Parts: sequence; C-alpha cells; structure tokens
Amino acid sequence: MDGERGDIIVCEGVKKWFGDFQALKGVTTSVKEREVVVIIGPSGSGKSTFIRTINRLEVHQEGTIIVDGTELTNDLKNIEKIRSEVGMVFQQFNLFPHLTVMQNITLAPIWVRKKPKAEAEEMARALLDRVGIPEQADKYPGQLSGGQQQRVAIARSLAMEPRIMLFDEPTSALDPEMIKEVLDVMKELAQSGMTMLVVTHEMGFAREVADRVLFFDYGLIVEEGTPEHFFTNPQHDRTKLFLSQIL
Amino acid sequence: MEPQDTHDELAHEIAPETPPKGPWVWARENLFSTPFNSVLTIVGVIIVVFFVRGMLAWLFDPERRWDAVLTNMRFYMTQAYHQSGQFVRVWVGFGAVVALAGLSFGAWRIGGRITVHSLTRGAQAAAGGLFVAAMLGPADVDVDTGIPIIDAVVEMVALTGGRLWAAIAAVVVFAVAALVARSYGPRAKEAEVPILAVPLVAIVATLVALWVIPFGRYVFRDGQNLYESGTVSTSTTTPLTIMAVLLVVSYYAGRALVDWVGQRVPKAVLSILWVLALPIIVLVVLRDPAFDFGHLARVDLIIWAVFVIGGGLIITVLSNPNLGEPGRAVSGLLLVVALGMWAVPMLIRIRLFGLLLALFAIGAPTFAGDRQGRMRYIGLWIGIVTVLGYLFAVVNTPSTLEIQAKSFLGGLTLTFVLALTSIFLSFPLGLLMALGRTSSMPIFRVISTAYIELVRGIPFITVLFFFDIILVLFLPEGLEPDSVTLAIIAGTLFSAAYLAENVRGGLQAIQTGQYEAARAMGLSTLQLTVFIVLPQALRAVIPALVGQTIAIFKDTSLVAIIGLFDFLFIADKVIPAQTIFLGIRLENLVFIAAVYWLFTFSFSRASLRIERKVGLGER
Repeated sequence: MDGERGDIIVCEGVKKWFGDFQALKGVTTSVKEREVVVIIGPSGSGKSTFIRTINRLEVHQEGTIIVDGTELTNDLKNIEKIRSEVGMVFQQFNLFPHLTVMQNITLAPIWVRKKPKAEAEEMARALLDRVGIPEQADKYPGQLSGGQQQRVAIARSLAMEPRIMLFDEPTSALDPEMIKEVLDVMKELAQSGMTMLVVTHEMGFAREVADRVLFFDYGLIVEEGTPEHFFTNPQHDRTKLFLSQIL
Repeated sequence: MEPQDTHDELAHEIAPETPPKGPWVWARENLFSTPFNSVLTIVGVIIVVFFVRGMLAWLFDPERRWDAVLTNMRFYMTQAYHQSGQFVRVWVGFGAVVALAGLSFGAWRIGGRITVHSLTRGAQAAAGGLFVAAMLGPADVDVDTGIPIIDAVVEMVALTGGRLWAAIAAVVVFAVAALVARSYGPRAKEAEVPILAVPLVAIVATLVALWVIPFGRYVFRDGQNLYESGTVSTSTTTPLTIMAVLLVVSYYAGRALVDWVGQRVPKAVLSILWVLALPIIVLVVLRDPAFDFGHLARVDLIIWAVFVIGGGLIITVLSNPNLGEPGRAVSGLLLVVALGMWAVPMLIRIRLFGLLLALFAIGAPTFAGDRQGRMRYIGLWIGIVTVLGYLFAVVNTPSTLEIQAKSFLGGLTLTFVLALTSIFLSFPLGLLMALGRTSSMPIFRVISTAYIELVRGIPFITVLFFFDIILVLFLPEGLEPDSVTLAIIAGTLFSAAYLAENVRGGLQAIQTGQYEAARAMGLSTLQLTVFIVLPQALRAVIPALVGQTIAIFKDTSLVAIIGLFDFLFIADKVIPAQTIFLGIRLENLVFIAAVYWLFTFSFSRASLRIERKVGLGER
C-alpha cells in the first residue's frame, strides 16, 4: 500500500452500551482513503453497531471517532457535515415508499446540498444508469424487486457524492438470484476508488474485493488482515471456528 | 449485468370463462346451502320485510306533513338571512362553490367511464328494488277473508294507487334497460358512457320536478316569518337552474383549461381558491363589509407594506445557505421578539405577522435552496401576508359590530361553515400536537399530552358552554367574539385533540429505518418531518381522519345549545313552532337525517377514492 494515502476514519477505543449490554468493548482501527474494508463476524458481534457509530446513527459512549478530520461529538453541525459525506446502505433498503425512485434520489441533493432540481435529476439519471436501472426512474419502490430497490438505495447514497460508503449487510434481505446484481454494483464502486466499509456474509465478495478483512466477535476486533491471510491462514481460534461454520 | 424483465413476453394461458349461474343455482349455493342457513335466510327476509313495510307505511301515510319540509326549504338552507332583499348574496356564494366544483371536476377529470353493461345492470337492480318497495308499501285496500296471512298477501299483491304507479315505473325502467342492453348485444361489456352522465340525468330530472311541483315557502320579512303560498319557481327554481347550468359549463371550462395550459397551474390555482373560498364567501359575499377607507389607507395598507417589504428582505438575507450559525441566531432572536410582542398591547395582526415572520425565518435555510427556491419561498410569504391582511381588513370593518355572524349564518350554511372551518383550522393544530406528543423534547411532550388528555376527557357540550359563557369573562374588554366565532374556536380546539391522536397512530406506524435513512442522508429534523414522516403518517390514517371529519360535521348540531340556528335546531324546535306546522317534528327529523347521511356518505366514498389514489396498502 502506498503511504501517501491518509487515514480517513480513525477509531480509538470505541465503547458502546445498550442498557447493561456492552455491544462494543473498545474498537480501535483506522481506514485509509480508497480502502475497502469488509467486516465479518457472527450475529450479535457488534459489527453493525460499529459501522452505525461512524455516521452516528448509534452514539458511542467512550473513545473517539474521527471521520475525515472531524471528531464525532454531540455538536449537531459536525454530525450533519459528516452525514452528508458518509453514505449508508441498509439491509432493509429503507427507500421512501411514498416517493418515486427519482424523488428518492434527488431529495437530499436538492434540500441538503441545495442543488438546482434539474442538475440533481440529471445526476440521478446518470447514477441510475451506473447501477443498471435507468428505466425505473418514475416507478415507486414498491414496484421494484429487492435487488433493484437496493441498487436504487446505493444510487441514492451516491447522489450525495459521499467520500465514504457504509454498507450494513446489503444483501442479507435479498433473494439469492438478486444478490449478484447488487454485489456487481458494489464491486464496480470499489474499483472506482470509493472508500467502503462493508458488513457482509458474502465471503466471495470479501475475498475478491476487500483490501482488508476485520473479524468481529463479542464487540471486539478479534483478527484482521488481508483476505489471503484471513481465509487461508487465520490465526485465532474463534476465527477458525467461524470460518469452518460458514465456508 | 442488467437482467431485463421478460415476464411480459411469456405467453399466458387465458383462464376459462366461468359460465353465468342462474338465479336458482346462485340462491341454492349462497342462501340455502345448509338447513341452518336456510332458516337464517328466511328469518332475515322476514325481519327486512317487516322493517321496510313499517318504514314505507310511515313515510307514505297520508297524515305525513312533508309540506312542512318543502315549505321551509329556504329556512333549512340559510335560516333567516338578515337582508331579505339581498338574498341574491346567498346564491352568489353558492354559485361560487358550484363553479369551483365544476372547474375542479373538469380539471381533475373526476369520473371515469362506465360500461353500458354495468349501467343497465344497475338500472335493472334499482327497478327491482323499486318494484319490491311497491309491493311492500302501505295498501289502500282492506281485505278481510278471516285468515290474516291471506289478507296480507292479497293486500301486497293488489297494487293500487301510488303503488301501482311505482310498480309501472319499475317495470318500464327494467324493460328500457333490458332493451338497451339487448340492442348493444355482446358489445355492452365494452361500450362505455361517461359516468357523470348519471348524476347529470338526476339533476335534470330534479329540476324538471321543481318546475312542475308547486309548494309555498316561509320568508323572513319585517322581522318575522311569513308564510307565502304558491310556487317557488321564481325564487328558487330559477337560481337552481342557473346553478345546474353553471356546474355543467364550468366542468367543460375546467377540462378545456387543462387541455389548453396544462394541469399544473389550474390545479394549483383551484386548490388555493378552495382554501380562500370559505372565508371570502362568509366575510365578503354573505356579510357585505362596509370598508372605512381612511382606516384602510392609514393602518391596513401600511402594516401590509411594512411586512411584505421588511419581511421579504429579512427572509432573503436569512435564506442564504452560507450564512450558517449567525443566521440561526438571528432567527431565534426574531422568534423571541415575536413571542414577546404578545405581552405588549398592540394590534393582533402585528403580533400574528411577527410570529409568522419568525417561523418563516427559521425555515428559510431549510427550504430556500437555489435562487428559484428562494423566490418561491418569498412569494409564499408575500401571498400569505396579503391574504391574511385582506381577511383582517374585511373582518375589521365598522359593519362587524352591527352585523353579527349569527344574523346571516344559519341552517345548513351554518353547519357547513362550522364544520369546514373547524376541520381546516384543527388540522395544523392537531399535526403540531401529534408531533409534540411524540417529540423528544419534554416540554412539548408534556404540553401536548396534557392538552390532548384534558380535551378528550370533556364532552363537546361542556367545551361549547365554556367558550360561550365562561371564556367571555376572561377576555379583555372590547373583545367580544360572537357565538359563531366561539363555536368555531371550540370545535377547532376540540377536534384538534382527536386529530392529534389519529395522526400519532400514523407516526407510530413509520418504521425506524425511514428515520435512519433520512438522517444518514443528512436531512435536518424539520426536513425529515415534512418530507418523510408526515406524508407517510397522513396516508396511513386517512380513514381515521375522514371519520373525524364526519364526527365534526355531525357534532356541529350541538351548537343549538348556545343559541345558534343550525340545521338540527330548525328541524327540532323552529318549524314545529310555526302556526301551520305546529308540532310537526318527525318528518323534519327524518329529512335532516337523510341530508346528514347523504353528506357523510359522500365523505366516506371520497375518502375511499383518495385512499385508492395514494395507493394505500400497495407498498
């Protein structure tokens, strides 16, 4: 890896409790610009909670998170700034059912970025083209298949021209035949140089696209490394057990 | 990488057509499928027959005084309009609504097309119903064979008098429908006629009947109600005919307009006109304000100009998105100043405009994006200040004190004014209350919850009494709103509490993912509420909102207790006290029940249409 790329996300001892339950027990890691990091781990290991702390959908109680030079605090202005630079794709798509695909994509550019409508729509069309569904612009989310909905969700996040994209199990709610179309879009995105944090169970994707793999368990990063190292030569017992269960 | 949808190209086998079932087969399968069901069917039919017979016997009893209803029709609609010679004002107001309705029906292309098949089927079903009613109607022959059942059957079959005419009409309609259906043959299922032709025929038939059937009327003249016998053709039928023509003409005008300039502008203008129609009809057309032009120039115009220019400048500056934190601080300061103005004596108008300006300033960085958006936002501000300023000027004329609202509002007009105003005003209040109750800020939550629970625990009659009798004692001297205004305030505050609870139900139905997605995109709380939360929440509770609207519409009948002459009061107390209709109450109550039902039923039908249109449940 070339050294001139700086760290765009720096996490230091991030801890998070839900009531008495500690979901994150001190996560320390950093992500470089243009890096693709895949996070895997058993369910309940804190991997989703972790990426949700990065755009402050979850508030961490201890430790520091610095995104693109700005530390996440309760200051509303910082949060809004970071959220408009960090895109997020959810397991359940979370498209707005009462808006068309076009309106879903242009809403934030028009009202948050204050872009003229025509410009926003032009960009939305280009993005729909990029995710392979240019003809669906005027449909409502309910009229699309799961794979198409998730691709719209990706286009919607990209419309804010984010520097970082977070993916929270983007293919887990999809029928098997639709997973590939979403992964293809994500691969293309990774190749274009986007900084990505991906929580997923798709080991093929991790092996092919990831620069680095983080293995979460019990709220901690148990093991991390390149995909080759991770899949061929895991060091930790829990990693070995997890891989043996899913591969 | 893109898998194209190929489903459409795949051949489908056409489902086999089920042969139509004969009536006997249908009856055996649906009504007499088991012995128990047969018993239920027979018992049900007997109950319905007895009920319908009783109703018809009562309705068509020669002792019924339906002329009490017909004679008092003008009374029912407007009560005693204070300027008998200027009754044309009532018609102008009604005409404005009719014209707006026609234009809107045309612009929105209300009413699709109906196949000849369903039309003739419907006509035949109606004819069948009429025939059954004729059979069950009160007999005017008295048969006495000694066996009661045979007596009843013979009386039922022996169609005489009005029953005979009804039966003949039923047979004729049935036969005509059958002939029409036959002449179309199998094409009847494809051939279509506009669905609006049906109400048009009904309107024309009603008008013809009005011209033909004479009846007298009550008028309010020289301070008392006088009975005039004879026809009403000049005073009512002529304007009604004009209204019908206006409706048809404006319908086609609306269609032509949309064809000519496109949908967007006419629909927006018509929507605004609908909002303005009620206050302008009530305050200007019905009340006839006497303007004091000196006051208008010295006060009204100056206040208007100051707020349009000054407010416009403030909004222009504050809507600059690059202003950031100082902008927010200025908006917050404006709000504090605006709220402080309510503690200092000054014109209500200035306080209200100040508050509105502060709210506009707070919303400015959120909603005014590019240049075009900013222009639109300032235009909205100028429009609102102008309309409110005009309405204030209209209310604030020297004639207001002389002409109290209850002198020109009465009957069905009053019912509609009360219901529509209360619904319209309680809507924003209810929304705010619902958002407050679900808010994360404790102060809003406590205030909203306390208000909702307090009001929902009090009967509407008590609220009305409170406003009419007790509130007046608290108000500063010189401020004595009349009973209509007080009833509107009471109705608004009352229904806002119920609306708030309905909307809260809709808010709770929204999945957390919607909030997360909107927040992740950087939308502010205000934008999240306006663009994501409220549209979905309101869609989900349309049935409940329509239910609340219907409830308010019927609850307006309670204003009789504070001395207003509403629709119910006229039927229940006023007409039975007239010399020639002394004690005639039931006929009047049946009539107003039918009118209330007609309107509420139309509301619920309209609600079904809206639900289908916004695609509820097809997510």
